[in-house]
Amino acid sequence: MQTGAILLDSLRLLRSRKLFWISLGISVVVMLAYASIGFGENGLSLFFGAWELEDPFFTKGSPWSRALYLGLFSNIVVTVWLTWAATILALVSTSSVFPDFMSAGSIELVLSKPISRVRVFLVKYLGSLLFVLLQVLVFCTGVFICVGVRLDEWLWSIFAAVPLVTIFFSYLYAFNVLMGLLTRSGLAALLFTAVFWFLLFAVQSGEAALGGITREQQVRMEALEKRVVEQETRLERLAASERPSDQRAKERVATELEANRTRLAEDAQRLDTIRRWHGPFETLMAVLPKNQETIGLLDRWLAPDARYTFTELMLGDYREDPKPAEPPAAEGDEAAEPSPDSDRERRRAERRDVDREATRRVESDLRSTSALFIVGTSLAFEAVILALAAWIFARRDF
Amino acid sequence: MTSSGPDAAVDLIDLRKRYRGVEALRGASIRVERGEIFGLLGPNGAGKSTLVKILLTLVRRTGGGGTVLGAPLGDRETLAKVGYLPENLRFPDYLTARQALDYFGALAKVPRIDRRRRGGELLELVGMRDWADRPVRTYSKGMRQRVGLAVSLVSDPELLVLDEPTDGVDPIGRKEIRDALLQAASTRSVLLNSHLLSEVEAMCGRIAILNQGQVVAQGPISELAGDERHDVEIAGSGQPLPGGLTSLVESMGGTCAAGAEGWHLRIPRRDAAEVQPIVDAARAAGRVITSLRASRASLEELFVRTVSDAGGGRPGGVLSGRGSGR
Repeated sequence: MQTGAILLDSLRLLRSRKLFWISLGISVVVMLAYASIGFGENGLSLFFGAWELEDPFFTKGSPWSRALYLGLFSNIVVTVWLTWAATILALVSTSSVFPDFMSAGSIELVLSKPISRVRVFLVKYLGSLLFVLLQVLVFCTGVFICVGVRLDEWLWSIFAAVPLVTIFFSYLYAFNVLMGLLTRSGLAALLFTAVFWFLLFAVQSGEAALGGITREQQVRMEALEKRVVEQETRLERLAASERPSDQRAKERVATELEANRTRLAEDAQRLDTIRRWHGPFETLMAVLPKNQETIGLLDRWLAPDARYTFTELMLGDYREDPKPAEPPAAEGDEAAEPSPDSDRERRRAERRDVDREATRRVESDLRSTSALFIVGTSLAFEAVILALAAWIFARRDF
Repeated sequence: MTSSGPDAAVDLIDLRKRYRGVEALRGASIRVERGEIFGLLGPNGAGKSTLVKILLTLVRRTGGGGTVLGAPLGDRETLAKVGYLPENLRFPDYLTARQALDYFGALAKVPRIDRRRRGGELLELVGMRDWADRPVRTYSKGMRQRVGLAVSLVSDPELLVLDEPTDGVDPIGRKEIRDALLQAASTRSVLLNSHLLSEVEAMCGRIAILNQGQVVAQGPISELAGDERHDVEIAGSGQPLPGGLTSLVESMGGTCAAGAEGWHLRIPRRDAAEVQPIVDAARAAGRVITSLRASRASLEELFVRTVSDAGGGRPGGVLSGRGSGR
């Protein structure tokens, strides 16, 4: 009865906040914009058919259309609207809930009732999360219908956004509540939360960037090692030859081999340095809430059987056939001097391959991190913050 | 000063509270009997609100103990039988009076059916039935206080704790609240913390005066005031009294005043018989006596004297200002 009463009060509080309705209104506009995207026989259309774009890939029923439509939801709509703009509005709206609740003449009425303070605190906290939960629930219901109509597929996994976005918000809100308890000011709590969010973002981006560089460096070194092995074999073959042209080629290959070995040693040193920097970021991220990764789970769960990822679509990779592998150099051509153009082309191709492989490995790393670890460690951090806040709330004199 | 017993509604013994080096309560003990209206008085910062808040578990005590409705101090379940109207009451402004009654009733574990029934009755009692479904933000201060009183009664409490219930309310509102309160108090114990001495004097049978965290006086108002010396006041019409008579009054420690409408004497004596010679002399001098009465010291005089004797506080502050809360 008491829990229900506090939750009902939270609902009434939300209904009384203008920002709740503004946020809901924007959600409906975003949802309508999403619903306005359609796929026909010749391509895709925007604004309910007002603007048509012919494209052989994005036609009705194609796997690319599916990837685009779902990717727009998980990568743009959820990431930009729900986890940034709507979260900011929700924080602005809810950050004064606890300071107001604790104001003189108000808190006494609640705490003088036969209910434990920890329970009051936790239910009030959960009640504030309703702000986001209800918004996302309404939004996801709209998107569920849109996807059903546009793709002729009733994807229940869309509703995974409801707990994920709510959990995402809760990481920040727990900190906001703690600050609200300590400062008794909604504005101060909001500012501290903004700083906390920025720091989280900085640490997370730093970790992701250094992780990406590490992966890239590893792939580059692997390619270099492969080339060194190839050059060593080639050098052995050339050493056995007595043709004068092969002698010149031998000198050239030996020089290149030496340069590559030096590069390899330098790259190994660079990798060590990057790893030394990456280590503390990894340790920090192990304990801090993983905002981006939590939202990233939606992409993972939404369409696990997708043929194309949204990133691939955005990069336009799906339009190109994989390039055929270059034929190996023919026997007897060992001494042939590579032309500058072909050498430049080869290096460019190598760089592109390294980038793609690094991106693939980074994505693979992200996908291999278990959801339990991502959400579990984040919630553990939140639990510590909440426990501290609840302890302060339970022991404070009002 | 107090005696413990099972019949007390509130029995607080040697309560102590220290806030960051400042002692707000220094061994305060009060006892509120069941069914009585008990007044708590004291200058600003005397510790009244702290004492009330300890009773309601809003503030943790540093020392001491006691019972509330027979249960140990701090027992949360007992709070279901305690109604509370805090100082500077602030309702969530999005609630209506009916919703507020339902919400706080639910927190006090009142079943839904009782909340509905009692809610209607209480809104009628405090004269807010016509405003029951309007948001609290549209209410005046007096209306909020009346709803606050209704909320404090929603659980049909055995003990009602009121912290400055008429603070900031206009005289008509004060009277309305006082009437509703007296009606509600007929069946329960009430602990009234108020800086309005006239209010306390009009409603309470017994009082305690707190000063600097200690109870400096406690008991029935009549007894406490009875301990004080009574004055005899004599008023008459006509010309001023003759000089010999005024000299006699002054020799007894009294005062004489004369004006266009007559004369007035105030003689500090317990017994009216002691002033009979003055009455006789005045009549012999041909003066008409219009009134003669023994005046007991008012609660205000008692309060000022008690606090001043205790060597602290600023009684003027309590009469003209609001409690500091701590």
